Amino acid sequence: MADEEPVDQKKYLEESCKPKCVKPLLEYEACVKRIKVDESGHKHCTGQYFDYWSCVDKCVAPKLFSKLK
Amino acid sequence: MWDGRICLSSLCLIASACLNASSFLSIFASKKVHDDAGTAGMNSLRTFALLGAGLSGFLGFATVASADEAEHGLECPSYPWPHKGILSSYDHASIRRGHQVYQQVCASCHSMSLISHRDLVGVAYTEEEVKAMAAEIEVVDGPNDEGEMFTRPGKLSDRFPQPYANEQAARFANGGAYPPDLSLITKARHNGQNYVFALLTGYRDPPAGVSIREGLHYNPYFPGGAIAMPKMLNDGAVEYEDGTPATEAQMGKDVVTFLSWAAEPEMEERKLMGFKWIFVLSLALLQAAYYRRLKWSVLKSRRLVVDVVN
Repeated sequence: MADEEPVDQKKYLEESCKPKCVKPLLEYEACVKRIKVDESGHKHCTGQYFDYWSCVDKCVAPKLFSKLK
Repeated sequence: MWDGRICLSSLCLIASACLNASSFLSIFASKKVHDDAGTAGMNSLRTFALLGAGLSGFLGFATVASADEAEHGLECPSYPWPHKGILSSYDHASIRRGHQVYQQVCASCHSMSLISHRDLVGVAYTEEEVKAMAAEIEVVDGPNDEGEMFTRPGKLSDRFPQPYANEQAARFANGGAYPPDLSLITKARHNGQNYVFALLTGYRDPPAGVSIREGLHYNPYFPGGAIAMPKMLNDGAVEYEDGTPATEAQMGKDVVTFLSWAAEPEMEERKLMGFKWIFVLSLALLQAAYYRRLKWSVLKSRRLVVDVVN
């Protein structure tokens, strides 16, 4: 499967950028844990989520287009 | 929305609230200190009131500040587009692939009513290719000599076909949401090219605590986070004529290049003209500066003698 189907370059780079963005990822997972006990339904982790993906995006963006035709 | 984080925007609000409070305090202090000696109590009451107002204002803003993130959408990164440089042209092979993606993936919902088939000639396809492409669609024309409308195969001069007859039909077919016309979309959105690419390739699971209603999909780049369009770019959705592997990122880059061309077809000519004329005008500026100084040198090298007799 992996030989014939080309892997999506963006997903691949996002995975490889995960180690660079461990800190915001851990913050996000801590938030997820914190709000698990919440019953009100108003708490969410958008802030930490945005921080993590902002870090990943900044890491991926300069490298992505060199992998595309 | 209070999950223990203080955003930079709310920190600025605290700072400005405190600055306002202290400036008010100084006004009151300078006024009152001369009038009454025994109003220290009143002054402290005033300070408490002002600080209380500032604090409640800050707390009120805090919930707004953290809700703003999802409202504005995640900021898209800047991608190194090949046509970004001061003298860089479009990648025309990418425009051709992007048009294929538009036709096969996007055209079923999104119109591009400002683009004609003839615009593609010499940019992405040859004239024969575009003629053949146009002939595949049916266009309503008329009235004929009998006063009736008739359908005929498309010509080069016809606009791109519209998927829906009008906005109401488009909304009805898409759960109330109107798929916007894409002719100018990269100019119609802030940081359009990067935004559209990030949006198309950015469909992800929502963060914990966020649920999207049935019929909408989560996209962090979309203001508000809930977009009506589902993820359309999937690996292998299109088979490129030139054999390029059609991954999500590749299709995203190609379709955004196509949309950039559609919004700014004059870009290459504009850059050439801009470079040429900025160069010419710089030379003209040097000439004008020399000529001005030459003419003014007569006055600038005058000697004025003030001869006052007292």
